[in-house]
Amino acid sequence: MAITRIMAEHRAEVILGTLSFLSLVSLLSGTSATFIQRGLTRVVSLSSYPFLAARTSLEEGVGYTFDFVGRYDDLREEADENKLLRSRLQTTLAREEELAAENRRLRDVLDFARTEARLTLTPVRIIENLRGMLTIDRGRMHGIKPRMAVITEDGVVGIVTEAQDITASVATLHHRDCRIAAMVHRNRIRAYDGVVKASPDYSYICSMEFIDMKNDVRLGDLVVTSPESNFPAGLPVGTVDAVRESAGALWRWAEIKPAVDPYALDEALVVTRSVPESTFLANGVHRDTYREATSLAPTMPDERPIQERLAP
Amino acid sequence: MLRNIAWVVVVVCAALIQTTWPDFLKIQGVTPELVLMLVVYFAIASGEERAMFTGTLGGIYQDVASKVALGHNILSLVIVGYAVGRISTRLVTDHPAVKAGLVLLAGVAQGVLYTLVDYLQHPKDTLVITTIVSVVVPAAFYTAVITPFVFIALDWVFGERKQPQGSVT
Repeated sequence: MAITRIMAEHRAEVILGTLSFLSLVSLLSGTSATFIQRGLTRVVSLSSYPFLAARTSLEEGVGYTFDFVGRYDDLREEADENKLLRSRLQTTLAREEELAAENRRLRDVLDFARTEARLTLTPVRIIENLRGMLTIDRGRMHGIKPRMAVITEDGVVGIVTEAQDITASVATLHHRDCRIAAMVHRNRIRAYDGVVKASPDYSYICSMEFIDMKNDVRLGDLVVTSPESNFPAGLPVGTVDAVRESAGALWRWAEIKPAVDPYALDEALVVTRSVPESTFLANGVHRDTYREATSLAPTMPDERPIQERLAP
Repeated sequence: MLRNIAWVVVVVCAALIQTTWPDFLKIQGVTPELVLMLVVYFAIASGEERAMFTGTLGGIYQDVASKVALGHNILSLVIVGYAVGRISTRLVTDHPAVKAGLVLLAGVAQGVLYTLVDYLQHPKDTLVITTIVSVVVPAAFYTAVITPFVFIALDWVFGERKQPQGSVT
């Protein structure tokens, strides 16, 4: 009873002594490999797993945040570099697309030149385009002469009006100096003067004037070069966009939409020599049968006002 | 019952945080002694018995986690818990600075005891003075600094603490 009473009175000291004694025993015996130690290790490892996982996640999150904040300047530099690279890439892509388009155009020109064996064609590059007058990069030194025809695979472009040493001027159907002998392909109808020319007042692009009232010209009719022109016969000039007539007039006129838009032109072909179709088909290509690609159309009266004709 | 469950949870959590997140808590190479802080808290709030059991439970976790012989931390924490429990009966103030000072003293005492036990086990590998100066004292100071905040949290968890048993004469 006395021991129980003493233990109750000095409970804290008893607990202290017991725990200290057990600890000392454990330390002296080195209980690191005992069953208790293994069990406790398992309990501790199991209960500590969520803490370890949480610590790992927290460290990763904190590390990511610090990296993001600390490497902000680096990321900004990378973003600027990416912008620069993207602009370079866009430039390169645009250049490649341009080269691909040029390649397609040149292939078309080459195919056209192969199919038109009766023509001697000189490829030219358009170096200037001003109000319907083109400047090409070939001139007298390359055999280019005035009144030579300029065409593409799509049709008629215009006529060489002036040839310098290394360049030449080409009047297109958008320019009043260009007159091309043409006819309606469907029924070979020609105008009274036989030509298609630029509109004098630019209310429309070009026209075929002096069409007989009895002649059948319809919207959408294809207009092609006639045999009397200095162009190879049958090349598309354009399509009839409108047929007009005035009350009491003797003639009608047709608005022609040119087959080739000279403002979207990069390359063209100058017809330096041509063989008449019949001769070509009958005898093949002979050098003797070549003729200069000059117009056979009759010279038309000068329709310019007298002030313009006599102006210096 | 709930109070005992909360006590177990808090002690185990503190031991786990201290053993699994040492790098997270470390400042200039010094880690706070969370279990010791709990021992002091329960010594003040509930007496030396609760403090000794707190030291036992927390010490077991620390011994197992740090892979030392079982009883290493237990012994030092139990002794410190008993001593602080006895001293706390003489405390007549609730000022946080006093509690922080008590934690500082307890930390130094626990560190010295731990180092001495370690020295007795491995006399050739333990530098007692160097360890006390460079590890024990800074750790005790760090623990004392964060004590007011932790005690506020513990007060919030465990509610109104027991009135001191001492008296003013």
